[in-house]
Parts: sequence; C-alpha cells; structure tokens
Amino acid sequence: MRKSKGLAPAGRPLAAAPRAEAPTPSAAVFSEMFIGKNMLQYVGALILGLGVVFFLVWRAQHTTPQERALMAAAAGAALVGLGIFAAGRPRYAPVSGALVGGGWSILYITAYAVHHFAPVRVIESSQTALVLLLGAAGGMIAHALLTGSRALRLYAFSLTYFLLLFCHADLAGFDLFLVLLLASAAIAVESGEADVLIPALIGFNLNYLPIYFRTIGLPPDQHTAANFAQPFMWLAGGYLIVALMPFVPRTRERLGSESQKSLLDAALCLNAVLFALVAGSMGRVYFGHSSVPRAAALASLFLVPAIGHLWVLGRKAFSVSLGGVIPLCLLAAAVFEMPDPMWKLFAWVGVCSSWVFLGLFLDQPVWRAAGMCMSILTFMFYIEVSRRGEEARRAAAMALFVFSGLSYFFSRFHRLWLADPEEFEKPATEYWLYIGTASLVLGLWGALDPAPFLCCLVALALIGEHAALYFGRTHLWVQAALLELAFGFYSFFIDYGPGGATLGLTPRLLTTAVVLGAYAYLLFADPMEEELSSRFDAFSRADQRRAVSWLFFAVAAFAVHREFDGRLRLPVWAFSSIGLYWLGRTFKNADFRAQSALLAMGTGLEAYASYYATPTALLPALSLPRAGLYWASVAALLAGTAAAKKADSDGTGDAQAALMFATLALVMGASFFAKELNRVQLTMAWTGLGIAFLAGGLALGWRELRLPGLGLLGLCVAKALLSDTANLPLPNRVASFVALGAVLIFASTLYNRADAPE
Amino acid sequence: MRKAAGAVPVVFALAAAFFVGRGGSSRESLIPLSRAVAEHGKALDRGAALAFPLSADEERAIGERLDASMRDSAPPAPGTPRASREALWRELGPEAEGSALVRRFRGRYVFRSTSHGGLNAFAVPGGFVYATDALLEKLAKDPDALLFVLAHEIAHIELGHTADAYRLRGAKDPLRAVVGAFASVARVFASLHFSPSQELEADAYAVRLLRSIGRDPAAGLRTFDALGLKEGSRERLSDYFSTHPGAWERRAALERESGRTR
Repeated sequence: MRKSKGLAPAGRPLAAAPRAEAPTPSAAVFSEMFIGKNMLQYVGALILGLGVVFFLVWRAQHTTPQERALMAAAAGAALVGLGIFAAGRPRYAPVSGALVGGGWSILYITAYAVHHFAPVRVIESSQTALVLLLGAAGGMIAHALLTGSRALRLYAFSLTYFLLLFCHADLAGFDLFLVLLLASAAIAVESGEADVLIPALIGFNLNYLPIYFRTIGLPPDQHTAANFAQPFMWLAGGYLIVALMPFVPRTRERLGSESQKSLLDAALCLNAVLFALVAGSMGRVYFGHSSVPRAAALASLFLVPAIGHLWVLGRKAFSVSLGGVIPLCLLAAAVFEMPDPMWKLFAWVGVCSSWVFLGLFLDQPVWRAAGMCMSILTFMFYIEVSRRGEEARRAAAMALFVFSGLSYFFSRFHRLWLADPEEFEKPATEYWLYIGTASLVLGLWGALDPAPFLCCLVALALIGEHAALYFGRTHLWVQAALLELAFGFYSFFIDYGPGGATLGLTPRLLTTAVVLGAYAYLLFADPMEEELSSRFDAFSRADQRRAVSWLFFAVAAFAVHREFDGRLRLPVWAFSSIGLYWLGRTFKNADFRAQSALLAMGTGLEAYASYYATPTALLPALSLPRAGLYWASVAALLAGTAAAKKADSDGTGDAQAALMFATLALVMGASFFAKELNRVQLTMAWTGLGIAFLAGGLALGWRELRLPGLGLLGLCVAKALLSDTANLPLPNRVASFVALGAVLIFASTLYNRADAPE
Repeated sequence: MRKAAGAVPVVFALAAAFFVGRGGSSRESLIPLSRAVAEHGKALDRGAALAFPLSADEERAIGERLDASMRDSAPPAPGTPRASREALWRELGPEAEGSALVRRFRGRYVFRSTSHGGLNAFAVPGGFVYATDALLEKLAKDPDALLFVLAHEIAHIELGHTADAYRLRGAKDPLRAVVGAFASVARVFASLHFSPSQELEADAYAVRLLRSIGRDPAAGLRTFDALGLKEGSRERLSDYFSTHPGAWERRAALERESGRTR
C-alpha cells in the first residue's frame, strides 16, 4: 500500500452529517429509550411495591390485619397521588409514570392480599374479594387508558391477568376470563389501542393452563367427549372473541389506522397460533390419537373466519394467510396418524389438492404454497404403502393417478388463473408439471408389472414429445427426454422370469422391440423442434439424441445376449455391426461407427466366451439353418470388408473397418471349427480357412484379408507344435504336419507369384 | 404424415404393454446384469480349463482320495429302509448315466448315500455322486425328482465345475503358476461369485438329461418344492453373494428350460 508523504492536499470540508430521522412510532414501541425511560420506572415500581409488601409482612407481627391492609392501600394511593402530582410538573414528570404504576401495583396487590394472605386477611367472602380485585384492576386499567401511556397500559393488563393466575379456582372461574377477554377486546376497540389484546391473549391462555392439565389428567375412563366439551368451549370462546373482532363495524372504525391494523393483525395471528397449539395438543393428548373429523372441525374454526375476512371484509393480512396454513397443519397431522396407509395416501392427496384449489380461488399464494409443500410428501406416503405388498401398491396407484391429473390441471390452471403471479410462484407451473409426471410414472409403476410398465413409459415419453410441441412447453420435452433415457436403463433391470412368448417373441424381445422402435423414431423421424428444445440449458437435443443412440445400441445388444444362445448370438451381432457401420457411413455419424466397432469387438470376445467356451451340452443342437445363418454372417462380414474398402463420397476407403470386419469373419469361422470339429479336423480346417483368406487377399490385393489369414496360419503352426505333438496319435500327427507344411509352402508360392507389396 | 408417424410407436408400445402383461410375471432386479457379468467372468476359468485341462484320470485320482475320506464307514444294514433308499439311488444312477449327454465318466460313475447332513446332494471330482439319506427319504416317492438331483450333480462333473473348483484350489491353476498366490485370492472371490451361474447351468443340463432319457423335464420343480425353494419367494440382497441362486430365479430358469410357462 502506498503511503502518502508530507502534507496531504487540503480536502474539502466534510459535509454536515445528515440528521438521524426521528424513529417512527411503531419502531419506538420497544426501543432502548423506551425501556430506559419508561420500562425501568415500572419495574422499579414493582420492586418498590414488593418491598412494601415485605414491610407489611414484617409489620404483621405488630399490627392487626386491618391496619396492615389499610396502611398498604394508603401507601399505594399516596404513590398514585404523588405520580399524578408529579405529572403536572415538568421537572418531576419523568418519574410520574413510575409512581403511578407503583401505586397501582400496591393497591392491586393489596386487594389480592386481603383475601389470600393470612397476615392481612380482612375479607372472608370470595365474591367480595373478587369484586375488590376487579375494582382495583379496573381502576388501574382506566387510569392507564386516561393517561394514554402505552407502557402503563400494557403493564396494567399484564398485571391483571398475571395475578389472577394465582387466585383460587372458586374466586376466578374460567367464565371470568372470558368476560375479562371480552372486556379487553372492548377496551381495545373503544380506546383505539389494539396492543392491549396481546397481553390479554397471553394472560387468557396462561390462565387456561390449570384447566388444560386438569382436563388431560382425568382418569382414562372419564376421557369422554362430554368431559372435553366444557373446557374446549371456554378456549374456543376466547379464541372466537378475538377472531371475530374484525367483523364488528366499530372495530374497523376505531382500529382503522395503519399502525392499529398491524397491531390487530398481530393479535389475530397470536390468537390463532395459541388456540391451535393449546386446543390441538389438548385434543391429541386427551383422546390419545388424532382424528380427521376432529381436526376438520377444529380447522373450520380457523378457515371460516379467514375466508370471512377475505370475502366479507376484503382483508389480505398475514393473519388470513395464517388462517389457511394452521388448518392445513392440523389436518396434515391428523392424516399422518391415520392407521390405514391407503386411506392416508388418498386423504393426503385430497387435503393438499384442496388447499391448492382454495389458494387459487381465494387468490392466496401462501395457501397454494402450503398445499404445494405438502404435496411433496405424497411420494413418501406412497413408498410406505408400496412396502405393504403388491395389492396395496396397486390400489395406492389410483391415488397417484388422481394426484397426477390434479397436478397437470394445476400446472395449466396456474397459467390461466394467475395473470401476475408472485415472484416465488413463477416456477410453480413447471413444478406441478414435474409432480404430475412423477405421480403418473409412479402410479404406472405401482399398477403394472415391470414389462408393461416399461411399454407404458415408452408411450408416455413419445406422447410427451408431441405434447411439448403442441403446448409449446419446454419442460414437457425435458421430461420426455429424461423418460426416454430412463426407460432405456430400466430395461436392463427387468427380470422376465418364465413369461410365455407372445406373437412368437419372448417378453424381453417384445419389450426391446418397443424400446428400439421408439428410439428409431426419435433418431430418424425426430419430432422435436430445435427452437423449443434449445430453451432448456442443461442439455441440448443433440446430446440427448446421442445418448439415445448409445442406449439403442446397449439395449439391443443386451437383449440379444439374454435371449439368444452362443450359436445365434454371434451372427446376429455380426449383422448388427455391419448395419451400424452402414448407418454411420450413410448418415456421417461417428457414434454409429463407434458402436459398430464396439459390437465387432464384442462379437469377437463372445466367439470365445459364449460359444467356444460354453459346454456343448448347454448349446442347442447344430441345425442346418443355424449353421447357414452363421456362415451367412461370415459372408456378410466379408461383404462389409469390401464395402469398407470401397471409396465413399470423400474419395477414401475405411481401411480400419475393412480390417476389423475381415478379422471378425476369420475369428467367427475359426470359432465355428474349434467348437464343432475334433482336434485333427480342427488343424486341417483352420489351415484351410487361413489359406483361403491368404489366397483371397492375394488375388484381390487386399491386405485386410491377408493379414488375418497369416495370423491364423501362425496359430496353426503353434498349435501343431505345442498341442498336436503332445496329444494326437502318431498317424493323425503325421497327417496334421504334412497338410500344414504343404499349405505353408503353397502359401509361399502364392506370395511369390503375386509379388504382394510389403 | 410425419406427424402421424409418432402414433405408430405409441400404439405399438401400448399393445405390447397389453401382451407382455398377459405373458407372465416380471420384476425389477439386478439379476440379469449380474448374470451377464458372471457368465463372462466364468469364461476366464473355462479358458484356463481348456489351456491346462485336468485329464479324466487325474480328476478320477483326486476324486478317489476324496471319496475314501467321505464314505460312510458303516454301510446301511441290509433290509433296513435306509438300505432300500440307497438301492433306489444306485438303481437310478445308471439310468441317468445312460444319457447321451454323459461323456466324461460314462460307465465310471459311483452313486453313494451318506447319513451325515441334512437335505443335500453333492458331486465329487472323478464321478462320485452323493446324496444324504434325508434327501433320499424326502424324494423316495418321486423317482423323477430324484433323477433331477442325480442329473444336477452329474452336470457339475460333466461340465467341469468340480474340476474347476479343484484347480482353483491350486492343483493346476495357470494364473497361480504365472503370477503367484496374489492372483489366486482374487480368483477365489471370483469363483464364489460365479458359482450361481454354474448352478443354473447344472439345472439346465439336468432338464436336458431328463428329457434325453424320457423322464419328466419339469421334475426339478417338484425337487425345489421338496427342498423348500418355494414359488413366490422374494429376492434378497444375499442372493447376490450366495453360492446358489435365489429360489425365484432358479425356478424361473427351470420353467423356461423345461418349456413350462405360467
């Protein structure tokens, strides 16, 4: 890094830093200043209040309960009065809130203590105690509302509910909390301050906890619907008080500002979440299992208000989105616990599809997204079902077909219905397209045996290619392209067992014909347009078709390997190799030529592995047609040699291919003799074959024939010296050596006459 | 016209789906690929057998030593059920041996029973064929099924499986001679893997042998039933490592070979 030397050039004076913008009211609700200026006051006041209580306890031994209660109340009232006094004087105004809060705390706690604490117990009647307590709470809340202090308001509501939590059950039955919540809602509306709903909701649910545990703690024989109804109605009542608030015109009028709308929405969300957690878990624990009807009934308590908000009020708040997600979660949990996997799968498909429908019709992206997320798990359930055996798998496939149809519908419907989808929803149409195809494929897999399934995949892939063109959907083509590769690979993994022949073809040959027919159609009558397929970046149509051509080759070769014995396999592969070479040369396709060479090499290896080395007892009898076919393939290979040597349009021959076909012809001929003749005959036959190739090569001037011929003659010499000498009886050995020697001399004569080039 | 061409493979595929579905059961499996690989691996052993063959006399000498160590010291007492079962085994043996497919030890086969072991039969190099008494008792009422067992064991000898096994243990292994024991370790693993193919070969040979002597070629299915290789058994991962093929595969191959289709 370069360091500056000397004085730095005088820079321009720094512009004055912009003044920090004043915090917005909503941002300042719980800011550091708020905590420091206000909250600390109230916490301090609470501590102060507790100090007074402890003082009262200390004084309890020296004063009568009436004196103690009076002293505490007087202290509280004095503090409140002092706070009011301080509020009118700017110098003391910052501590006025603390004084008022502390004073009311003392008053409220005193009202609680005069019935619950023995040292200050002056009121025996619980009704009177309750009236006193509510009076103190009402005074505290009213004062808080009058002062307009948010901190005091929230504190007052929190303290009211918190202290009631410790009241005896006879003093504060749960009906009281319903009334309190209703009163809180009314106060929120009339005061135009929706924030009081939040401590009220938390307090309401906290006070419900004793009932919750009492309900689930009932003896098992008392776990009846009737015993469940009362506690549930309390809870649902509280939930509905808040959930239905937006339907009251006064609420919309008083809480119409943006900030109050946000606070009301937060309260509605909190209300829904708390109700779902408490009611859902209580029902699950109480009854010991989830139930779809119960979950549906509970879900309706969320759905109906949410749909009402949308249709009646036209509200599109977060609470409405949550009103769609929570019931889906409840239903999903209930479906998840269904004992029968089949019904579980059907119910799952039904629920997630219904949610997507609802999301589409109500224009709720979050509902649609929730249904979409749930749909992914469908496949997980299907795997679970398919493990239960074939019957279950087949039946479950029906659910997947339904799901597939719905998914395709959603894919299309998304495009038609949503003119301007959210950013995250733009890929949804393609998502449903893939889900639809995946379901269809899985459904077919479940419903059919592997072989018919393979044929259906073929049909599906070809239909997909044309459907992609028709609808102009690139991703339909991508799916079809993937399926085309998939069914090629899949065909290797089908074990056809003892299936009977159909139309004279074994199952593997029939399905292989289907696969090859489809591949041939794609390779030679390609229906896809470049413009459409090029919109996809991951792979090109040329790449895919290239892979198809290699799969074509592999599937065909494998079928021949599996279905034909060694005597039949070789000629079929030899003819195929010639055919592939012709295709490669005609269409100028390097892949076909490479496949031809590969197949030729494979045929040469198979000549040993599956023909020569296979015990004769395991091969079918050698018949004239089979021998004819075999030698016809040798002749075809020789014709291939001639064709390869012939100059093509470039004006050059293919010497490599010619040598390959000539060598293969020789290998096949030599293998036939090795397999079908005895040792003496074999030496003779190989010698004859070698000299025939040599003579032919000399006569035609083809080096590609001469070289394999010479090689075979060399092998004959080696065999004669190494094997025949040791194993043949003397007369046969004489014949073998004489014949071989004469042929070699004859070969030399031919060479001399032909004056063959080096 | 070109657009309509697409319908042809689709219709063909759907028609094939219908026909193949009626042809019989099929399933997903790695067995076809596994066997294709195994058959080619086995060709290496066969090449070794062709280049360095054990002569019939050499194999017989090995077998005689093994037979002497395995033979029951006390033959069954005359008149007992076990003696009559062994007599049946000895009686059926020559019938199987009389097939034109039997060449290597024709006329030299020895058929014995043993009281040791459960349901089993095995072949010893050189033409010694054993069956346990438990197996003879199980199949005594079905001579064709018993002949299938005999033919299967004869196949192991005639097709060189027993000789291969002995050669791989070091008697005449060309690879061991050339590159030492290191290569033999790999070959032992290879031979373990390939033996299911040899079992299938032996089954196929047995079917042909039964057909050649005019017996029921599908008797092997009854043998499998008796041995507990039931229909409908499912493929397991262990099938790929087992020395014998899975029941499903073996039955399917036998049904195909014997021309009996479901």
